[in-house]
Amino acid sequence: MTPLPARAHALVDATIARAGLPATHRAVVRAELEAHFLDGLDAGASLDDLLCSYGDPLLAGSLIARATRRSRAGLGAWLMTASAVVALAYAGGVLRLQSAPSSPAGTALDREAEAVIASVQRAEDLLLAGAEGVAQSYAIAADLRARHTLWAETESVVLLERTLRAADLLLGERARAALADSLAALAERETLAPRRAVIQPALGALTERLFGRDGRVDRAGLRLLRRTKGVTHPSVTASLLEPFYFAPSLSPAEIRRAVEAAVDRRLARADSAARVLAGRVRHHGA
Amino acid sequence: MRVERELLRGSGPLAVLQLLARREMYGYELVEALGTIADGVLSMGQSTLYPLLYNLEAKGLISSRVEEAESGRTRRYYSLTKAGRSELAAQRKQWRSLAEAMRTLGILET
Repeated sequence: MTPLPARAHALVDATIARAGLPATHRAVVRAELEAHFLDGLDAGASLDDLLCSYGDPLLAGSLIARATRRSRAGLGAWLMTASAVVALAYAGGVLRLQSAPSSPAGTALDREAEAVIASVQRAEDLLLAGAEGVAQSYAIAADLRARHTLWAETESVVLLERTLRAADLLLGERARAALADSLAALAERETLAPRRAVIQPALGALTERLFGRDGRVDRAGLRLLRRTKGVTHPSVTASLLEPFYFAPSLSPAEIRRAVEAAVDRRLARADSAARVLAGRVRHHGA
Repeated sequence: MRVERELLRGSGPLAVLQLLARREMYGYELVEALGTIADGVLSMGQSTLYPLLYNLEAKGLISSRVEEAESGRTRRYYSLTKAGRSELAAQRKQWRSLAEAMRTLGILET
């Protein structure tokens, strides 16, 4: 390849220096200006003619700077337009989610979930208080066990197991024996394993109640979904993303699958706790 | 013949659009082509051509692609975009109107 003559180099350098371009642009423009000289020399033009016809390098640099600024401004405008579209779509999703009227049944399910979560939280706080909290925690768990609702069905078993473990650490032998008697009696009345006969119909009702009248997840539905996943205080990220993500993006089938997966995880924890409780009851009876 | 700058303003971009309407060209080719038209009335050097090309590209009237030439150097070829073709058609219409007016005045011969 023909090397670029020094005088041509100097003109290109002056132009590029004046243009003040970002590094990537600089390399591209330099290559093109140099190629012009080399193409001219290859075509038989004299260097003097090429240098003479080049024009003012400083003016060229200024004009190139202006032209490339216009090009970058175009990209910036595009990015701003794209950002505005995304922001509008997000605002639309949030607005739709917040303003859509929730079905009364969906709100009732949500209230029930909130009540169960509050009960479990209260019981856990009592367990932290010490020995005197164990009996109260047990009472809350037994009460939940008797409700026969979706959330109570799984949370009560897990809470019972947690209460009995706390009792092992905090209570004396006599108190532990009394608690074991109560557990055996409860097992007779309510069984200690999550009852699928309660959960399955409730799950069906739950998945229906996620959707508002327009067939899409509404505000109450989103809250129900969070509760089913065990989220009581969604993070800022979740609060920002979920209305955008769930409201328009997922199909009803995908949302149902998400709910079923969340309930399955709760059931798995409850089944594990139930096996431990069953072992205790057998041991106590032996 | 040297034409006053005010008369030339606007004709440079139009001439480049017209040349690119025929086929894609690289910078040196464009300079050579412009230099041969009407005794070089539309001649322009690199310092004018390349800012003009970058401007037209920023407006979306032309697009470019890079290709490796036989010499091993890379060459940037410019071609007209769809928007460029529309702009060229619009400007040609304006120039025809202007030329008609000049002919009527006797400035341009029929």
